[in-house]
Amino acid sequence: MDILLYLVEFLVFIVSIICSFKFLVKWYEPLLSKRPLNRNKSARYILGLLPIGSFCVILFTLKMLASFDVVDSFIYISMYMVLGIAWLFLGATLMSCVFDLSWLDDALNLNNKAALIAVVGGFLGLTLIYSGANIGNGPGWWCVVFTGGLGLVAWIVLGLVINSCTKTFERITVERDIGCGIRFGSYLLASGIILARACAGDWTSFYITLVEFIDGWSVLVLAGILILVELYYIHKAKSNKTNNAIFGSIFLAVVFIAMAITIVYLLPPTSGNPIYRVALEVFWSLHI
Amino acid sequence: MKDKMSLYKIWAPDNALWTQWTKPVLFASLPCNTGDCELKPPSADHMQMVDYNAVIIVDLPGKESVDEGLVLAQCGYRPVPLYNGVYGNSKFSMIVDVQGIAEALQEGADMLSSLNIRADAPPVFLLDSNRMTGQGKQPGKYDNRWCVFPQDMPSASFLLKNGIQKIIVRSTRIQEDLAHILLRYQNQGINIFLCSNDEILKEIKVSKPSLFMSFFYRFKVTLGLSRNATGGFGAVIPEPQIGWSNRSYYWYG
Repeated sequence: MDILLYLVEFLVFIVSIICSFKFLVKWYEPLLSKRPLNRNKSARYILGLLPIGSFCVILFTLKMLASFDVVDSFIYISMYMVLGIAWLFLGATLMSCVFDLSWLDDALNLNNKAALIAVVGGFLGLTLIYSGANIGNGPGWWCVVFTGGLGLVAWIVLGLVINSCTKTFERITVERDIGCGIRFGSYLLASGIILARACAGDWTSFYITLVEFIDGWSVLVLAGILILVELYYIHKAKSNKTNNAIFGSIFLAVVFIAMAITIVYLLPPTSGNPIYRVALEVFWSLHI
Repeated sequence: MKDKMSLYKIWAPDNALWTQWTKPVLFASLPCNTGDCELKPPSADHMQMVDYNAVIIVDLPGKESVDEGLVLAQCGYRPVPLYNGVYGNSKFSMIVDVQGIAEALQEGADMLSSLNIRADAPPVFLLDSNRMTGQGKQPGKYDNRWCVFPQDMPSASFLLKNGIQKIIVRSTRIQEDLAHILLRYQNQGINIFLCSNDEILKEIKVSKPSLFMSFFYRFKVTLGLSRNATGGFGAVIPEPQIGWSNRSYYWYG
């Protein structure tokens, strides 16, 4: 049984290495290729540094906060690092496909500043969700994938709900609304912080993980606030043609991120949450 | 012979309002010498005076679009090349032949630099109507087919903010990718006119294309095209090679 587990871990490691290599080539090839007529140097530097920043966050988590058998193991840290890069590859692809927010087309090729800010916020949000999934003790890689997957699905679904109410993606990519880019980018980062907290914790079982994930309920409040804010800005843009909302958007971005950090700091541990006890009772009654 | 940067700066001067939409892809991939090209700017009887409330989209095949753009530049419009297909290694290997456009852009630069076009002049966006013609992904060919997306052109609110009330499309028909853009404009109250070969302006109603306003649209379309690392579209499609075991392998070449 142990041999089978090691074999599966080895396969995950190999697949992650292949995906990571593909991702790094796809990411850095356009950034490093010669573009003599391109004016967007700042976008190239920011996008070039973004994966490096993410690797540092993941490495710190793995060295300091991960499972007891991972923190001191070079092999396991390497495996979870490459799994993290593959995770970011999946996340960036999902952002292009589902959010229509392409780091390559919008941020780099079209020099769209609104999209650049949203992409940076989204990439950091994805990094935090993966890092959160690595926090706590667990028996194997599937715990990280399952808890991180819950966070990723919630993050994507909420992004789609926000877009269906406020046409955010169209306003960022087509209208190049920098204020909207700042607000949505900061929301993606802030929701990443809250969902990272929801993904963190020691592994017990799949069901208990689902129950513990309820700890991230406050992300719904954050999404609701963003929808109201965006509807206000849409109304404002219709009534007043000059939509100069950069400073207000920066202020809101700071509020979103500060709110997410405060929520994570003040949120009681899962066991102190009354919903947790109710869910546990349901679990035991189902088993009896 | 102008270098690529100075050629690009002529077509996309820093002070012009619409410069940010110009695609640098074709300029960056231009060969040193594309050959001789004789510019034959057509007559522009349909557009003798500049209309500051109008944007023109020229969607004609190959170098005709550049020629038309230069004629409109003489009337006072600012030509904005939106060609997003890369110039391949050889004329015969490219699926979309951009040789004529490349030559016309080089030859037309002198004429354009001699014109005194206002910084806030209304734009004339230049598109190659052959951009999606030809079979894609043919092994051994240089697949430089491309599409224009709503992200490649100014938004309706940007146009309205700059006083644009109508769009004139100089083409024989509205292509599907352009319909995605024009319908967005039409929905915001901008009037769309088509000017075909008879050079008579006709107001049209753009019909809804498939996947309109869908966030999957761009992802789906770009999956069928070949990206270039330097931006835009263009890549060699690998040819299958027969190995010692009689199996076909794909190889770049």
